[in-house]
Amino acid sequence: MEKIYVYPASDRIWHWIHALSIAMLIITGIPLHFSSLRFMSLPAAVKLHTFFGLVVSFDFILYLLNMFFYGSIKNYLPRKSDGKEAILMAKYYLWGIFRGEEEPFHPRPGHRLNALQKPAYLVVMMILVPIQIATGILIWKASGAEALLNSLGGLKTISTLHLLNAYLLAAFLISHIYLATTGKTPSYFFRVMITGYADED
Amino acid sequence: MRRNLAIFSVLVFSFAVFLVRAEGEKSPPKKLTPVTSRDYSSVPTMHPLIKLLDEDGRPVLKTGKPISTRKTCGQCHDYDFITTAYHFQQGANEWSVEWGYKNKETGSISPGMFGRQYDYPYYHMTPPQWKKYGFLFEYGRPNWALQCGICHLGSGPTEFSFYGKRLDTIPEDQVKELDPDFYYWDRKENVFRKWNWKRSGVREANCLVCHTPNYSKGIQDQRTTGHGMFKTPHFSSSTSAGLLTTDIVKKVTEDGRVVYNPRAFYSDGTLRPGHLIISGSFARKDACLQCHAAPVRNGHVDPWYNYPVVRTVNRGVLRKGFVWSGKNISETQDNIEGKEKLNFPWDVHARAGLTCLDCHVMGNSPGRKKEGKTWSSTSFTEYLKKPDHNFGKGHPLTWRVRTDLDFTVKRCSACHDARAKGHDWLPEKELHLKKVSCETCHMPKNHYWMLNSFNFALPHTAPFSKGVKAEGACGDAPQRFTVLGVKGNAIEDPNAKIVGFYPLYIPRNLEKNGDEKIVPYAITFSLHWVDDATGGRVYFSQILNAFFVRKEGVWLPKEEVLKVFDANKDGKIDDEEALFDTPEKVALGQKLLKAQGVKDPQLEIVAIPNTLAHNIAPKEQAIKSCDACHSNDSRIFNRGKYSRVIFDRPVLFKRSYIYNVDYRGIEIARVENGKTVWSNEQLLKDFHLVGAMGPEAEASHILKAVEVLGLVVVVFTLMGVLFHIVGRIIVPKK
Repeated sequence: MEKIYVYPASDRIWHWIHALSIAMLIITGIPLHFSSLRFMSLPAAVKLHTFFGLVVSFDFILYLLNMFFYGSIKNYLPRKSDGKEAILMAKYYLWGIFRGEEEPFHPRPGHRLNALQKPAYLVVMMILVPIQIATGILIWKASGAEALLNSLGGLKTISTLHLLNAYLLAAFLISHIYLATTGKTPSYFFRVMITGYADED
Repeated sequence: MRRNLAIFSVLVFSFAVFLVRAEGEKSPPKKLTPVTSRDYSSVPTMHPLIKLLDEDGRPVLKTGKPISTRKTCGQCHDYDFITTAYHFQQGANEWSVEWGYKNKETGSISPGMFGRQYDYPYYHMTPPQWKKYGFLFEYGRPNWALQCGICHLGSGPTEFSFYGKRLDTIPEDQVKELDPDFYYWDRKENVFRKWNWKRSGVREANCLVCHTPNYSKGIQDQRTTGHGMFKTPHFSSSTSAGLLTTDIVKKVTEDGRVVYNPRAFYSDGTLRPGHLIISGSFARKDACLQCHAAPVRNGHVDPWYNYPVVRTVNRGVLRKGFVWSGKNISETQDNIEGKEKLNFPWDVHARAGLTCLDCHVMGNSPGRKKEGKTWSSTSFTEYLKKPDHNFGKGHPLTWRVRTDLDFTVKRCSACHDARAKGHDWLPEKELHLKKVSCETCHMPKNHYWMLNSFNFALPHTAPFSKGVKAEGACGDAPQRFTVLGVKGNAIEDPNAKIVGFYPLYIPRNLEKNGDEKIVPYAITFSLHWVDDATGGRVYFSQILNAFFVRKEGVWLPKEEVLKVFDANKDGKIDDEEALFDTPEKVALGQKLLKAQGVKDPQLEIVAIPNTLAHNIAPKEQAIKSCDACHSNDSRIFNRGKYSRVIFDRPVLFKRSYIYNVDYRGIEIARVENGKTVWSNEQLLKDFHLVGAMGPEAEASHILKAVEVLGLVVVVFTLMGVLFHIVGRIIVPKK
């Protein structure tokens, strides 16, 4: 079967760094939040959480640059066929996949995301992640940003928002990893995201 | 020749006699024999010899009258200036009938011990024109002088009336019926009596208590209140009575006459050297400890608890288990549990040789820097004339006297730079130093005992134990109390183990314009009735008459009270039975109090917080475990700590708050697992302790909802994935 080059190396490196960091943030966030699940010391968890938080922040800047200056935004732009495609994808995930039907969408350059992925990723990358980064930085630098913190409702409000976001991102990550197993084979999308090549239709 | 020789001999003899006599007038006696076991004659003092004078300014040696410090010390020092200090006044110079209304403390008339409602003793200070302002007569000035006089240094409220007149100079014909300057309520007999200030004299400032190391405050107390070696109270002779441990005073009679030892005086009434040690501006080393803390003497903390001690003692011990000593805890008495591991001093600053005045600096002492920066500009001459006895103070929650002097105590930062060294291991160092007081980590546990709670809602009046009548702390207030930090019966068993206690935490700013920090406190809790119609606490006389009846000179519980409260039917109401833990008990209490004129009686629990800035442990003992605070068992919320238990029963109180207007409306107690416990989650709702989500969520419904919602979202996502996987496996393929 012919292969098409969908994900350039820069995108793939960015993706895996981002994935690893988000996973590490969740892992190190557990001992910070649940004292009964403290499998590492609090200072170690704080240091690692801060480190991976900074990595994600830097990664997010790259994401924005890639989106707005290197054209990856076109993957998120709506198309006329999106409505129909969304229904097809929903039907596929809710029934067709169980019957072994072929996935109605195949990624290709400039059109890497299906009609359900586009809004989901936009919500995550344009709302949840920025909020998480902003609240994380405010918590990290709480002693130097008291006026700002107070104007936003105080450290506890910001921490609560960070926590809520963390739960939503964790839920998204679980769904994202699972849906990555719904390709032609369970490892198909992982392979695509590693090699950059997808099968031609 | 013989004649001349005889004349010469007579002249020589006469001259020799003259020389001997003159020398006798000037020289100290060859051998001093102080009554006390300690010989203070070698204590260095720069203070000149003084003439002890009576209230008329005449030498006491000649008149046999009590020593007047106003006249004696006032020969060189400005007595009136010195006694304006808050230690003498206790709020008396700030009193006003409106004070309580202005500060949302109906019934209080001053910010200090003289007039602010408090819990030991439980009283309402009666102001002038009390009827006009809606007060009941409950606590006249003589009541205060007799009870609070034990600790009070004299002058202020025990020297002058509400209107500033010396009490023993007010003519009888000017005293009206139930004038609170003259009348007092005798609780035992339930009658009002008139006090004769002319007979008892007034209590002038007792300078000797702090400035003479061989002075006995204990005997002064006995003379003031009429117990121990005295049968009747007498005020003006109390200062002289404390000198009974020296060889200056031989005897003080019941009517206040003083027999002085002429050998201790020169003929003009000046004291001979070596008899009275006056230790100048630094006072005696244990001066403050007489009221504010317990020292360690002969390997024992003095005093150890027992009922009489609780009744009379040292408020620093009662309120916060304050022991000031550089000795190791392990070298102190045997009944401290696990003391062999406590191989560090009671207080690291005491070990280093600091004295109280090093931090509680005197206002104008030229020998000390003010707030650690600038030297006082007062000259020594001016200072000796007018030494400012307003010692540096913090920002206490309990007493609000002279708030203009708040934050004048030296904080840790005056000597230690926490940012410069020693805290580099601490994650988020700046944040921690900003939000957590030094004492929070450096005073992890107090290894002594304190009073835990009072129950004024139903006091006891029956004999207490071992024949001791029910007289509570500070005289005749018959409160029920519990002790914190002792395992076993703290009252009756002298071998009960001292286990110490953990601090409770309150957010507080410790420096002027400083950040609000988590600060450790020793808190005593009080359960009492309040009249919600007026906002004031119910008068003790109303409580007494509501629950008790006087029979044959004794107050006994009414039959209907026994019926509801006396669960074990032993004919008396035990401390545990006296707690209002059933609706029936509360309803009965309300009914009985309404019959006494209380419109809307409700139960309140009030926390009386005392700052824990002493008993600082060495740095090796400081808290370094993050989990100590950043966990669901966080010590900041006192999770799992017995120190948070207020009452062992679930008291049905209407509201709880901290004894300070700033904290009104914030609940600080709740019922948990059948006990009434301290709860500071609402107080700390603006603080965020990573990892302490459990306690924090108790103060925030939003946080609790987020926690639940988040977990639900994650769990549902996982379940969805699981169902999907199962579907992919079991649904037959096309």
